[in-house]
Amino acid sequence: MISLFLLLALEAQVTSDRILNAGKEPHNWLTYSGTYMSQRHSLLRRIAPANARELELKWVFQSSSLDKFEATPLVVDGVMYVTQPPNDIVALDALTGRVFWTFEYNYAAKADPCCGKVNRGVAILGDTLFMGTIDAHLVAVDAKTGKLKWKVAVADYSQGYALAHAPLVVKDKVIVGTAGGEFGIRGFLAAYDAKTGKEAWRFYTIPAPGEPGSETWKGDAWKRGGASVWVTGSYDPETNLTFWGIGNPGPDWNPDVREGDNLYSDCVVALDADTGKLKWHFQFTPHDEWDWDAVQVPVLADIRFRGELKKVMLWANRNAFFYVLDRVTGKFLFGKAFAKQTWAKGLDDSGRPIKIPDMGPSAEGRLVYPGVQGGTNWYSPSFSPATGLFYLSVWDNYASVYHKFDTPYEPGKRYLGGSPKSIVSPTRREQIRLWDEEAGYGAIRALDPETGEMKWQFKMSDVSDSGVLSTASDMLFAGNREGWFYAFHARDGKLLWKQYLGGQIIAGPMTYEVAGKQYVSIASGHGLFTFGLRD
Amino acid sequence: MLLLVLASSVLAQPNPFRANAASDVEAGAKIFRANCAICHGLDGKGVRAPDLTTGRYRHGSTDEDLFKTIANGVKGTEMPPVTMEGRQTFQVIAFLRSIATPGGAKAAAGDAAKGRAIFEGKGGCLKCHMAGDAGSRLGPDLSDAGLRFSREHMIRSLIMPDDLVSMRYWYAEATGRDGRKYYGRRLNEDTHSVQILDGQERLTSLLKADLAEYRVLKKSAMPSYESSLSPAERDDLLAYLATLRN
Repeated sequence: MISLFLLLALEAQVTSDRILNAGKEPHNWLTYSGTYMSQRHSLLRRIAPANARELELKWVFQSSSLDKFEATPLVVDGVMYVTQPPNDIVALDALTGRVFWTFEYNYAAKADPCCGKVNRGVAILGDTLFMGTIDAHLVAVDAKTGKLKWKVAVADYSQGYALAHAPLVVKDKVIVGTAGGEFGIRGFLAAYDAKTGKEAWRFYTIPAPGEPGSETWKGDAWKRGGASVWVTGSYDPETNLTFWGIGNPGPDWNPDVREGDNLYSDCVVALDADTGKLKWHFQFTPHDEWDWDAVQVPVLADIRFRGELKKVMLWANRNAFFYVLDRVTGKFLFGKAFAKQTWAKGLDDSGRPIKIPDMGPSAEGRLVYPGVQGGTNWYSPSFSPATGLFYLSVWDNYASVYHKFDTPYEPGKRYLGGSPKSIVSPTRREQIRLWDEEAGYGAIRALDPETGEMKWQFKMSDVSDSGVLSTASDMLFAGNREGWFYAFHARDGKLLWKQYLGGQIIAGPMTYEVAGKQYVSIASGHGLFTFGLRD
Repeated sequence: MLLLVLASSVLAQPNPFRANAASDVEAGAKIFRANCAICHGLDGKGVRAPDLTTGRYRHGSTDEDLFKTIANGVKGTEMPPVTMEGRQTFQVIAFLRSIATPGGAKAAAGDAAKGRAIFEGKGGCLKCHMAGDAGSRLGPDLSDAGLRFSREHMIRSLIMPDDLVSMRYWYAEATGRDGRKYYGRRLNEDTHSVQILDGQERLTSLLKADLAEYRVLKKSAMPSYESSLSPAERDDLLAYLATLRN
């Protein structure tokens, strides 16, 4: 008995080594995107195309909040940890959905992030959970009891800062970035000691005058240039680099006040995980005029590219271009538009877009593809080493009319400089009668990373804000704004199974195993739904 | 990231631009043209959305009411929440005050009693429209047409109905694999199904997998009355519609 207890106790400790090798224990889901490679790909195989029709609902966790449910749960040895929006943590039995404990976080009443009181999940190390809060704190909570261990202020929420994404644990540090790009913040990433909460390093996503990159800003614009962080990054242990997508420059739609490329807005940055020092950066949309944050999950893959085995990063950007980068050097290898776009003639040899003149916002309004939500957005894509394909939610044939006006900066107030208009609602599901297929459509697509060619797509009437999950058994899971949750064959896109959940899906699916049975979980509306094969 | 509306704290304030300089009205006009004119018309007299020059507003006429209508939109209609700074919303309200001509739309020249006879008889309007308790739910409810639509809008609707039809009144036309025909106002649709109010006012849901053909008719189901009614008859009809103010 005693030895059994000891064994269980040890197993419950999520060491940094376990996170590093998370792919080798696919019954668990130890970090936001599954592993440090962020492929949202699982080696589990019990659910497969041959039995997908036997998928059925096993349990539902109903959130007590009406805020948008954007979290991906973690599962550690049969226990699931998920955030109930915005900032409660719930520990559940992953087999039955029954609650062990709930940690209720009382956020500052005045915290009011731009786009909803949302949270995308927790991180774990040892027996401690970590969560960023909408009032810009980082909290550490005991995974056994739900008791607060420590809490630190990352930034000042009254200035518009917030934390929305699931933290990334690397070694003994917890890395988070600040949202708030619509409020004239100066974004940053910071690492905290997992035991004490002490800040270990900080990287400002906008350089101060005199620092490299500061020449890409004019005057005082850098002080309130946005460049937020709101989606979890990745980590490559071989180079000890952590990669993060950076948000749009502010004000969003009036670029006149921030002449220059506005580094490191709309970039992926590669930072030394121990020191936070910048190793390289790549900017997708220099001097962004449309609000096309590069807050996509950096998907790392080792693939054969032009005949050579390469360590790459795959990136479908909000600006409607798909990129392949060398993740060791940051060098651009390949890029191609994956959705309709009218702002660039293409990409030059360095990957820099060749902008078409006069496509920025104007007082009268200018019609540009893609619209403000982009060709895709923060929705987690997936890469399957089994099929070699990259999967994502695409908004195609979708435009906005971008208007520009002056917005004076006031601390803590929205600092936008314009307004985009679109027939498609930016974040909410609506009855489709109020729009037309000419407004654009959503699709789950498979791209060949080497060519950027579409291998297959599943077109939907409405758009999709869903992440995508692939498995080694060639299953592909994704949802949509209408409330459908789908299983496809990852090789040809054949629809294998579907279930209507009745609520908008704005989260990424994940999978795990308990007692030899595989489950798939997805948030929809205000619930978390878990499916498994018929018993 | 995209923003959603709104700072409710500003609602507590009166419109700071109400009695303000012409420059605020002018600023409001610019914002109105960029954001509102596509439905309400450049002059605010209404295109497919209501006439805003009458000085009476269906969802409340105080500054606070108008602010809420603009910022939150109107549920169940095409009026979306309009995202802008509170200051700009007040400038739009200042503009709306400047174009309002209290007293409402001028009375139409026709004979309302004759117009009613056309509406209920020769015009066949009740086949699709409600007026008070009578009529059909297939087309727009005209029980408050006198409040919602400018005269110009109604004339254009009668003569060129396809130009002004709102998406809410597009029709779905389908044929089942069994050959059955379906026709009705499209209420909702997703990747796998479509919901309609059919010609018999039945709420009907169709699975796309069961349909051999399906299309959405992006035009009005209403015929043009350009030749079927004389100008005098149309004036009578307009005079009747102007009295509908439920």
